[in-house]
Parts: sequence; structure tokens; C-alpha cells
Amino acid sequence: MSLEITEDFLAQLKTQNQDAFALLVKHHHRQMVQVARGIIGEAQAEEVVQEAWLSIYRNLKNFEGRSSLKTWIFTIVSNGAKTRLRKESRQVLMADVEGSLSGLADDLFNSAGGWSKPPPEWDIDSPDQLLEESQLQECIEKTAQSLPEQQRAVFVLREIEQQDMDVVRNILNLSDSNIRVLLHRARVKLMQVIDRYRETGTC
Amino acid sequence: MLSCKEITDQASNYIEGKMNFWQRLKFRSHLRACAHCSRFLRHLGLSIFFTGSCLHETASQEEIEAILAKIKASEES
Repeated sequence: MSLEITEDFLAQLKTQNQDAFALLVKHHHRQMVQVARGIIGEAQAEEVVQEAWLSIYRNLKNFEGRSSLKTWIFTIVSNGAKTRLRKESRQVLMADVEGSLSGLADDLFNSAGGWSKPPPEWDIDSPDQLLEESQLQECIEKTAQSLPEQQRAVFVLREIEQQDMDVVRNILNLSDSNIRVLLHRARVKLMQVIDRYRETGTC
Repeated sequence: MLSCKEITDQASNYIEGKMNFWQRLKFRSHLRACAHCSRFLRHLGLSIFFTGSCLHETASQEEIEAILAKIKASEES
């Protein structure tokens, strides 16, 4: 369940209320680490996010609401990670967008581009039916963790944190087309987990 | 006519409304004729909703306390 930022809650954050700040950390910390990994890589992501939290805590009183609080938070993480990269004279990671756009295996299609192995029928009417299956949720979590770092960062910002594409592009310093490819591949990969689960009952 | 492979490549652009009029028309005319691609698109939409809902991770109490402790230490120094 995502955190609702009410005016009351924001006012508490601005006065550095510890409980309110702890709740903010609870709902965004893991996602921030994933985004930092997408920019600077695994090794320094945790440290960058720790520094970002300190900066967020100190600067919340100056938050003017020109963007959403979530966007502001992720921008602070992103700036911290990019500053670290500059200091170390490293480049932002290049997006790995080689190969097919969807990431689907070539052998699913014949030489004319038609299905050779069509997608299996899920036989469900609404996503609520999927939400009732805890084992499937575990399979999805496991696969999401194994996504390449940039795919995961794009997925987190767009699908979990519901950020606009422009925001995602600015935070991750990637082109619009690269973001689209990474997001599409992540979506298709996770959809295939459900395909497999519906067919075999396992991950 | 677009191929099924092209439909699977472009499905997110279609869902996000990132196609011009002609691209959308070509995409839709393929879907009308192809049950497999219609299924692919329906499943992708369901999956996007489902995965977005179930993958919101929250930090553990230990993680939260570690961050609060760092902030406290930094404020005191």
C-alpha cells in the first residue's frame, strides 16, 4: 500500500516529526535503493541513499511543493548518485538495450514474425484474482529482484512510484527511447512469470 | 500489416498512448484479426496492474532505525 501524503503529514515532516519521518523512510527507502543502483551500481547505492535521507531530513522544512514530495525525494537521491559519479570521473551507466525490444525469445515466433508458441490463456477476469495467490507474488518478487539494475530502477519509478516518464528520464539520465525499452522488457519479463505460474503452478 | 512480433515489441507504446494515429490504426487492425496478440495485450495490462500493486516494498524496522540513528548522530556532531 503506498503512502498518502496529506497536508497534515507534510506539515509534520516539515517540523521534523520523527514518527512521520520514519513512515516516509518505511515507504520509500527500498525503492530509493533500487533507483540508486540503477544510476551508480550496487556497491555504493546504500551509502548514497543514507546521505540522501540526511539531506531530505535537513531540507524538508524548505520543501515548497513545486513537485510532488516523491519526485523531490527521488531527485535528491539521483543528484547524490550523479555527484558521486562525477567526483569519481565515472559515467552514468549506459542502458543495455541491445536485442529484441520486448526481450521475448526469438523461438516464440516463426520466420514471418507470427506466433509459433502463442501465449497461454490465464483464464482470469481481473487482477484481483492474481492478488489472492501468495505464491505467485513470491515468484514476482524474486524475478523483480533479478532484473538488471536499470530495468528495475525504471520499473520502480514508473510502475511502483507512478512517476511521469519525464521525471523518470531526468532522474535516471536516460533517453526516452531507452526508458521505453527498459520498461517494456521489465513488464514482459514479469508477465512471463505469470504465464509460467498459470501453466505449471510454479515459478 | 504488422507482425505478431512487432505487436509484442510495441505493446507498451500502445498502452501508454505513445503512437500517432496511423500507428494506432495499424496496431488495432492487427489486434482485430489476431486472438493471440489480443490475449498478449490483455495479459500485459493485467500484469502491469498486478505487479505495480504487489511490488511496493517497505523498509524493515532495523533499516528505519539505522537511518534515524545516522541522522541523530549527524545532528549531534
